[in-house]
Amino acid sequence: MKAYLADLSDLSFVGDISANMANEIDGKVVGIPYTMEGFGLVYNKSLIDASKVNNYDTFVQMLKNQKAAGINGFSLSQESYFLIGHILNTPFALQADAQDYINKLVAGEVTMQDTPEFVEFGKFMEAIRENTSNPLEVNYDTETGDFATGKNASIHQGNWCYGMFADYDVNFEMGMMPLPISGNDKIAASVPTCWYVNSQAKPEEIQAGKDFLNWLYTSETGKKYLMEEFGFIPVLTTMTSPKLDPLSQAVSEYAAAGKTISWPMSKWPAGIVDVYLVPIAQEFFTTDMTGTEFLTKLSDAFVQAGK
Amino acid sequence: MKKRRDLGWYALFVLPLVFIFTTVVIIPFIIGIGYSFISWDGMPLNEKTFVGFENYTRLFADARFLTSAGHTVLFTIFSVLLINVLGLSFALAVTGKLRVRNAARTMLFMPYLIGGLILGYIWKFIFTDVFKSIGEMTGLTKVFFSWLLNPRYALVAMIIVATWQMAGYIMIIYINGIQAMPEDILEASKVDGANFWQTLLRIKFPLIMPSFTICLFLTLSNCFKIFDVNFSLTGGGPNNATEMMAMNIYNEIFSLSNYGYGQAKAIMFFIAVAIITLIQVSITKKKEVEM
Repeated sequence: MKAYLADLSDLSFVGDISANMANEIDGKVVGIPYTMEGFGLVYNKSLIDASKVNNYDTFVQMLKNQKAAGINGFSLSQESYFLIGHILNTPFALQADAQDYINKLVAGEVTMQDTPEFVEFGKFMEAIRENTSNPLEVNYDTETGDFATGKNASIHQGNWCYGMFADYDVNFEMGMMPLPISGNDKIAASVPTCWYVNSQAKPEEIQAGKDFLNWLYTSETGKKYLMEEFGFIPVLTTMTSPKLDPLSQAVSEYAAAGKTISWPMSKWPAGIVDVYLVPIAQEFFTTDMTGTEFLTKLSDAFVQAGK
Repeated sequence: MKKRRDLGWYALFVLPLVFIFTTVVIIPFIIGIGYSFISWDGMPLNEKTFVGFENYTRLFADARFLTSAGHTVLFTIFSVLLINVLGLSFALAVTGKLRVRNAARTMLFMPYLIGGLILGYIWKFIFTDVFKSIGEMTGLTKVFFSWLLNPRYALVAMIIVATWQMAGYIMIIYINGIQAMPEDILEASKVDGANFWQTLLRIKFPLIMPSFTICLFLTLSNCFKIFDVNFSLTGGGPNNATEMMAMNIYNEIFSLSNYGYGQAKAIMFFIAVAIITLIQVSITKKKEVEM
């Protein structure tokens, strides 16, 4: 990829990009962040008291309480990242050095089944399989729709899903809280995508690309679109957003408090989620394999995909 | 003079096709053979390493590829049988004395007009949501459950959808064959006292053998190459139980970015399908009778 990315360090607003948000290669800024997105447990405030769900035991207790009340306590959905990609991100992000851990995992030097945060993740997945509806029978629309109508107490989603609730009369307040694997109290937030300029284009095209980005991030019209029309969370210190939806609001509050974990999933071997992880998750949710067997298969998949 | 004018007409109709066939099939195919000997991730500026036959030797040890080949063979056998049996039965029914034959023809052909992707999504809804609801309402949960979550039933679901789509199309070809049968021979057999089965097996089948050749060829190659229904109905799941060859190759190239290796798989796939269909055509061709 590197060969295709133009150096964007000379754009006027680059100095204003919030810390760790720009995509830098060899000290040069090559990607301008689009927005910030965060995911965790999107929950119904009238059904769940977030302060009481902060570790494995309380999470399972919550699932059981909801089940007893005839409500599905937690939901994933069948699409690749919503099934396994995002939720598996958390134990990776809890490692001291996630990149180093991925390298070792791919090389076969460490395994998930021997790493405490993953073992706990395995227990979470077992509890989810036991106490909630099968995610393979649920798609994104059902997951968010059932949440909006109060049939799901919580879903593993990000602030992007707020747009799905526009079609419903949501009559409760919602918030976002961390997935409490190993007592995790942080939300996974990062930049989902960046603006890049193709270094292989003609010089005047490269210039036009840069001019567009300058216009988008510095002109009144450009900023108005990013903040008000798109509802993006600001990525430049000079921008403020007057009207964030409740979920984006939660993400930006966690970010302001420094309570975020990263997205190591973007460093996983290419294509691994759809081709390797989804089939394993499907097997997990259709059989009674244990969390340990599940982790063993996931570890093997990283070795396979990283070849 | 007349010959030259014929040649002009000939060229007018054939050259555009030759041009399109060359640019979208022949040339990419030859380039593809070249790609199968290198290791490359698909980015033009990135390095291409020549690896010789390594891509080919590797795929014989690729358990997932071989399993998907197994699924494909299983799927193809059952689908080809079912499609042709149903297609032929439909054709016999709608060429008979059935009163609603024209309406039936249209209805049976209709599924073929819906694209495979859309078909897959429609049936996905039926096999998951509708089946589950029926099961809950009737209590017959042994039959009506979410089929796509069970590895074996998911493959059956694939066969049903592929059959539902293709049978009507195959029916049209059989209808042509049946209608081209000379009436006098059929009448002669009737006069000689042949019953329904005798007429069918001894007179009709040999006469529509050319249709068998075409139909078997079409269904064999289409079932081997199935992708769209696979993609939208099961996505290869659950747990790769319905991952067909075409989908395995697609994943290798477009998800895992192994262009060289994926291309080697595609070439092997082509050779296998070509051999099988050629054998089939040569066998059924021999059985065709000259009038």
